[in-house]
Amino acid sequence: MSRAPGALAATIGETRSLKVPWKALRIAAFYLGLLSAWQLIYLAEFWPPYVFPGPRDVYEALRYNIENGDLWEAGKVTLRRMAIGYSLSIVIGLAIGVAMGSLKWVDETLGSLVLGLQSLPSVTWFPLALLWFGLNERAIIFVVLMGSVNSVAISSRTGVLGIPPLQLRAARMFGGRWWEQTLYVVLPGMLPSMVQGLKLGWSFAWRSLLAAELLFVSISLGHLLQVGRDLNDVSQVVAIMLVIVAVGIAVDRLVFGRLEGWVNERWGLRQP
Amino acid sequence: MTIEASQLAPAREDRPASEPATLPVLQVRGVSKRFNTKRSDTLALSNINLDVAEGEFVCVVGPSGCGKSTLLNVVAGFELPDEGEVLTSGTPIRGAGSDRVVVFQEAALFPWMNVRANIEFGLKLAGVPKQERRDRANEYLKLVGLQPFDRAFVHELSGGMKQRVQIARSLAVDPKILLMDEPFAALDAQTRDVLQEELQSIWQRTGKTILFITHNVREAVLLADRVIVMSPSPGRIKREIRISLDHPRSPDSHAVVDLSADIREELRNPDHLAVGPGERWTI
Repeated sequence: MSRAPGALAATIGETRSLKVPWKALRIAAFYLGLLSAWQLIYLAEFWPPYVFPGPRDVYEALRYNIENGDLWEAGKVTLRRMAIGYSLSIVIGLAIGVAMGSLKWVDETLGSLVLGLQSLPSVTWFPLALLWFGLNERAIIFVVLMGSVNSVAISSRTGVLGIPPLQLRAARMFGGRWWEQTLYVVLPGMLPSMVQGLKLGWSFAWRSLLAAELLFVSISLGHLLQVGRDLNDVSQVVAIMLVIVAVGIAVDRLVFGRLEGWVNERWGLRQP
Repeated sequence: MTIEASQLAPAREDRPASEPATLPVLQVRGVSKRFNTKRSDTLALSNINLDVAEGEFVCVVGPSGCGKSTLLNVVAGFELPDEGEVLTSGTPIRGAGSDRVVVFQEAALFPWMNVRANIEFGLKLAGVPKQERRDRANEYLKLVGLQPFDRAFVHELSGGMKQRVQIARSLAVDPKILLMDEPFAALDAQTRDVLQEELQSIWQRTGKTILFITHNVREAVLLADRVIVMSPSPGRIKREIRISLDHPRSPDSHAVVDLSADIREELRNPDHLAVGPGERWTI
């Protein structure tokens, strides 16, 4: 979509290509410094290596886990649970949140329950999940769902209430069935105030899942952490933690970054 | 059976055609509307009666609080009257509908859609096929002079362009009557002049029936066949003035300037009576 006038776009391109990428350099320098500090502390031997491993030990542990295939297996299992649990929480959370935002009596009844349940740490659902579903996938997906559905519902409610009433009125006068109004007007109209809630829901789901996986026996990222603990292998623990952080950053950039970019472009909001 | 049914069908269709063709597009019959709040009880509309004929351009003018916006909301179907009823072509209205589309003062376009999608929105909900939607959108983009901006997003448009998109979006569904709720009140003076001129030409070209709400007397005199003057507490129609000047009119022409000054004086001073229908201003 080439909407910007050609001349303007060219000027922007020129200044960009001439500019030194200070931001990238700063970030690279920061992490390089962090890595060096880590290495120095390791070399100073304040703690024995089996308590405080160096960067190289962690790298070796990571390579070992990649080469024997454990990391891929575990990653696939964890991401699959995440995908199912988070999708479910979006569908259910949206339905609850839209209902709360549009119907006063739902907000007064179900709304108070949703707010109340949000104060419950998601891992506290785990014992109940085990008793209800047994030690299986359904139990762990239930925990993920319960961890994020509340924040998705609350942000959906905010999203519906954030749509300018005039836009809803304008949409209503053109007729159409309720599902058309929902699909074409309510759901897209909610997005600007919902992006943060979706992000929050994702991070809650991610935390709930890894907490639950620590208590779980089949292979998964959380389980690899637990194995590292059992074997007294600090390098492995740190390596898996780094993987968990990396997945978090990747999803934030690739999924939510794009969604935010789309919203900012359409609504003309400033890039934060 | 099948043959019988098909023979009956044309007979049924014949009946509405026998009704008089002069039925007003819009009839407001004895409409009253009351607003109750904790502190006050306002009669926003008191026994309003108003007919708008096919192809007529009617402006409702009055000071703030005279109920003119409430009247538009009742006609649009956004609010229910406490008494009375509103009919379009003889049929009582039931809620909002695409036969009475509103051009709002601001912020009524959908920011997640580009200009074209905004214009096609009503057609999409009406189930118009894709190709026809494109053609109709092109036609109305051209009418309001926005063809080069069909892929622009709403936030990239100026205030005047947004109002043009609203006009195009409303006309695209071919409503029986176009309702305009102070559509140019938030624009700068130059843009307002241009849009008033364009609205006159759009009205002349399309022959659309228009009910236009404004607090600007000059705007009402410039645009309307008939000006309805409302007065507040309770909101009622004070009187109506037929304006028989030829279109297009200039906002600076003596006739428009003098008549609006006269009506403004009447609004300020209830004893003063602006020169009425059939008198000096009927040419």
